[in-house]
Amino acid sequence: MDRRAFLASTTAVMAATATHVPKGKAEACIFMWLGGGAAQMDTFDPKLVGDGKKKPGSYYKAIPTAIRNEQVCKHLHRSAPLMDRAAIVRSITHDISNEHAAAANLVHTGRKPSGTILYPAIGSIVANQLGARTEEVPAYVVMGYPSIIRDPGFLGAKYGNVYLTQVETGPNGLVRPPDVDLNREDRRETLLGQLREGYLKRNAADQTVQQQDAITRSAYKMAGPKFLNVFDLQRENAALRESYGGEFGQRCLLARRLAQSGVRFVEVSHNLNFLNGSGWDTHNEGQLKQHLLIEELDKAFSTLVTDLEKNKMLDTTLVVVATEFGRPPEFDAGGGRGHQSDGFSMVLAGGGLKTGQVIGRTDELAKKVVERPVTIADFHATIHCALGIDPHKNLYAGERPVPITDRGQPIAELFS
Amino acid sequence: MEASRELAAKWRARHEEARAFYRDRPVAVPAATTGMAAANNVDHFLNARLHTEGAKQQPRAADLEFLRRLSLDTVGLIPTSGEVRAFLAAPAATRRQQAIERLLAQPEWADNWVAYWQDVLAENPGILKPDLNNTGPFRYWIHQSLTDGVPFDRFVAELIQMEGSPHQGAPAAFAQATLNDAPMAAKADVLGQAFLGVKLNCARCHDAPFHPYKQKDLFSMAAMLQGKDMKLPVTSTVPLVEGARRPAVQISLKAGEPIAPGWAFESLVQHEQSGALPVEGKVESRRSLASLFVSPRNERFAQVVVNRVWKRYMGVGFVEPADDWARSKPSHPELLQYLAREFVLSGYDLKHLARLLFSSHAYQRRPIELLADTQMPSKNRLFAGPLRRKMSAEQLVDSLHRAVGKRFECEELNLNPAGDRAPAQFLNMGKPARAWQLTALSNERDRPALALPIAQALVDMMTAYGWRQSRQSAATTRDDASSPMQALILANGVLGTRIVRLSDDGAFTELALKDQPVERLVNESFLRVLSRPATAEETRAMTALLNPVYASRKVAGAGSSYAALKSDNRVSWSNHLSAEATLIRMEEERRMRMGAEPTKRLTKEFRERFEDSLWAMLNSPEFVLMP
Repeated sequence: MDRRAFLASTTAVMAATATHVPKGKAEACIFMWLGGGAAQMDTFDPKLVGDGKKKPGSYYKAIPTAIRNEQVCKHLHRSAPLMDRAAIVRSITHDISNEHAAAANLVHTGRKPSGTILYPAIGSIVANQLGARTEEVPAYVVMGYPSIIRDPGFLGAKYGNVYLTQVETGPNGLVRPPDVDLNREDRRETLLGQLREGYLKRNAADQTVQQQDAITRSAYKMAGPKFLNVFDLQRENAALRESYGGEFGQRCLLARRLAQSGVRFVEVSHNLNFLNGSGWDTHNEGQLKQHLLIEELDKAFSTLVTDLEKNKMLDTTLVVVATEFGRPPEFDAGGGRGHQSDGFSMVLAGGGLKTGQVIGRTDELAKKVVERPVTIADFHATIHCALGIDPHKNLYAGERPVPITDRGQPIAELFS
Repeated sequence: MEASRELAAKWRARHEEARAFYRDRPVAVPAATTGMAAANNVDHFLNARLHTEGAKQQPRAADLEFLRRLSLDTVGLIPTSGEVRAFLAAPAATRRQQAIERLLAQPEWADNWVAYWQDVLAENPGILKPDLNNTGPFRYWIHQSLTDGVPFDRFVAELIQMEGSPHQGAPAAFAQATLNDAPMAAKADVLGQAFLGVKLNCARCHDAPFHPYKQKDLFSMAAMLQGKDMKLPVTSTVPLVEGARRPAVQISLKAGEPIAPGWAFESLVQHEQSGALPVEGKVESRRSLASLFVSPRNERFAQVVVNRVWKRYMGVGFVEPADDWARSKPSHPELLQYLAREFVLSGYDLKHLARLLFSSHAYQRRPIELLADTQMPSKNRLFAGPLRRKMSAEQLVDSLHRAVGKRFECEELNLNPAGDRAPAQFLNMGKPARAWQLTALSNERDRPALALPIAQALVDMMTAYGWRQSRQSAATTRDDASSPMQALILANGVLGTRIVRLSDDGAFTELALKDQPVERLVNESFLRVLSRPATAEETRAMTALLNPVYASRKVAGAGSSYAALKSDNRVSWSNHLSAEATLIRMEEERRMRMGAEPTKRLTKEFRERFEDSLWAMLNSPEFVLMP
């Protein structure tokens, strides 16, 4: 049986048995994005150690985790004892390994682009399905750069994200310019109030004018102190801030605060590429300091999980660690690694899932999936289920029904 | 030169034939309706219908409301205060007509149309490695054609030939659809929607469920563009999973099936009627296809264009959706026919159509007061007035710059300044000077050193207002429904902050330094931003705010200094992952966020009060909603 047939048969069996759709209780999702393609054998799927040159394999030694008989890379030593709060999915598979943008788009939208409609990012789908938990906050926040892969597609601008590129800047549009203090803010709104009043009076019967005005007024509430205080990390205790680590960790702390405030989907990008000169795209010498990225991830992930737990939010917050593809066990001429999309790892933590298990398996070098392949569509279906969204429902692009995932099946083992 | 004159002469001859054809097909204009205002024939058609329905016309818009609307509809910019004054100085009886002629003659007419055709024709250049359905940049070709006033049938015919350089702005750039395994099928869909009102996108993978189109209709047109038989790619089929439920759509073609070039739309025009065109394309079937599209006997073509122009200026078309005519009947079939005939008789001149509309009483009325809704059934579309519209994303960004008299600043849209990669991988789109010249910033890789902070601020504003970074497919209507983000990005965003700041590159700084009574300053500000004088109350409120600090506003001895925004071109694809590149871009981002350096020539006390006044004017719903 070749791979295609194998996949087809698994899908068919699962389709036949998928009578019961599990429904999770998670209320928010924090989506950690390791852009560039994190090497599975150097993180969550460690194998025999290679030599960094001819002999393929992991680059680091492995250590035991809280999941029996399962290991992770030694640079994940803070997370290892917490892995019972997580599920490692080691058998993610897709077929785009040549192009970062295309693979990142696939992992965000769950589909390859079709050209007839623009598929929404998962954050937009969640925003569309669940909305924010409270009125004064947006449903979908991105910490990273905005681009088409994080866009709402056919769902429309309403389900787009609010983004920030660095924690200290706050979200574009929601933060008052630094030179506008409360006094100026007051003055502005008073003046605007006078102008608006005259304009509304002159156009009293015009519904479009009235609607525009109403939306503007509600928008200004969103930029109010309540939501903006969420961005003030100084309100957290110094030791906690410290333990989250560098910029990436601070973003994760902010993500927790955002989830707490009612935001449904927070994407946190780990794009601190200068740490090793390549980010997670560890070709050539990018490999040499890859451990700095892993350690940063380790600090942030482990602190986030414990922090959520302390705040009694872990069961209702799904933490996802995702990346566009993995990397092969062999080393390139420069001692780094190429790309590999068939067989790599992602992690799901908290969210009320049955954690403490490993889903799927790769071969002895993490080069191929040998057990329970999980497609990107399946992965999306799992996230939807965890959030209580029916993974088999249709969205609509005008009249055209579009299944919410590309016929994905949730990973049943993660639901009780 | 000789050749191009010869070609133009051939087109003129072709237009003579078209005129001859239409001259014999007059459209009867209804008689004037008693008690209803009319300025030209357009009104007679509309009034007859209003009368039958027992409906009233909206009152005429005030002169300055008309000017602002007209200015946005012609040049895509709000009027300058000089233009407002000149308009008011002209005799009341003729000032509107004069304004129409003056504005139609301005070169920015082309700018204001480019953005529209970029959407409709899915112009989608990518600056970093091909993504799905990237085209080359044919925006410049569109701009040139509109600037030169190329007759519209010729514009379409040349587009369909798809000749020239794919990277330098010729119609060949339209032919591209990267990563698409049947680019010509994508193009056939775009062309069908754009110029025939035939929406074939559902037919890409199966027979259209809501339309009378078969998959073969699309692919045979695609084969005409291809110039030979096409094979149906497996990706343009519906995957059939054994044991799963049958798809609800009809499937009449199989993957791999060959499809010959052919014309499936005989009800619009038949092959033998279309006649030869004076185009010089190398592919014969493209020439045939062009002649079918723009044949005078293909009345649908002229009507679709007329309907698009009407919709653009009146807010809703006679036929909706404007790109999909199979779904509904026109609200005013005779007027549509009349305008289509006018369009052909004028030699397919868009400006002639625009002039007819702008001169009508209907266009010059106050907007109707219902929620702007293009879904309204055609029987309710009476055009008692135009729909209330919002500025488009491009009009907003360009008008913000004009209002405060600041130059449009942006980095070069180029992620490989080193220039060491092929243009198919890295396109240099130059430094934009108008909003339509922006592109998707393509930072899917999410890398700080690939950010273009100045462009990003422009893109953020435009995206909130319905601009599409990626135009993978055609769109006639944008999703620009009012949203909280629209208000917030204008109020607090990086671009909004930059615009409001009184810096030494802005015209308001100079205005504030001028010796004049504070009331004059206030009034001039209203003219510049809202195209009208301040009301008595507004003058009172702003004067009261500014007066206490007005006399002492100037700082003696302070000079003008403005550092234009700069982008460090040492950052290029080859080094963008280095720490240095990242730090350079992060610093540029920080500077951009800080906004423009405030002028030192005005005291802080005065400057802040005046900035806050400008902020209020720019953030009033009156700024972004068209009168």
